Amino acid sequence: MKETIKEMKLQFRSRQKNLSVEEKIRQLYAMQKRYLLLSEVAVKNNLKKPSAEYERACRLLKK
Amino acid sequence: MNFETPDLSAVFRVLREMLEQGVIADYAVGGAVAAIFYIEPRETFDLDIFFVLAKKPSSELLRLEAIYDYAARNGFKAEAEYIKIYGWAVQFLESASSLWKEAVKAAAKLKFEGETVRVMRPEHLAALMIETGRKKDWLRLADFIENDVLERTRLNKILQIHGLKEKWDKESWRFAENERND
Repeated sequence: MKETIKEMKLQFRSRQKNLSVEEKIRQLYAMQKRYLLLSEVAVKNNLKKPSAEYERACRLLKK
Repeated sequence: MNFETPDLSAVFRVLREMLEQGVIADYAVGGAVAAIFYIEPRETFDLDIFFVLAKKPSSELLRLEAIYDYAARNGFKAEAEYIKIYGWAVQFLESASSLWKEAVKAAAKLKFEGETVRVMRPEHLAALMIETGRKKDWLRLADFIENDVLERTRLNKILQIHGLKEKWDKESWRFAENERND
């Protein structure tokens, strides 16, 4: 089925609207973890320099 | 990667205990986590808690003393401007302006995993975004407008009371494309 970007956005928004706040917080945890993992790999492999945002995420999210 | 599994409802339980023990007189969740109650989640690494103190501090420099004492008594580590509570970096911000104070007072009592939590209402969050006016505030406000979560009469009243109407009139051109027309 062909869908325009606008239709896709609307569908995404309506799916998100039906999510509970608990589910949205779980999505946030997944985003945080993904950010840390991807940034860590990129930094370790010299693909990017550790940004201020990455340093902040490490400080706030790690044990 | 040493990533602690965070527990937001445990943090909300701590806030309830702080209220019950008179450490703070009132509080409300603000910032990106408050926004998640109304719109889809956006990346954030911390939790902003806006509070009103229960007792006058011993000096102006020690306004957060009661909170840091409570944290130390309960084994929560303070790191720079944050207190680590159950895997969350929590920043306690004293409600300084009249808008902040009103936002805390008018907070909605919502449920999260069975725990009641005070969360700033979307119109107050929007007014604070307009007041602060950083790039990330405009982006979040665009999400609020796109998701149609703002009660416009209430927002306009808040902006009027706190002298932000003129700023909003100047900046609202940014959101012409975010208005829902579906």
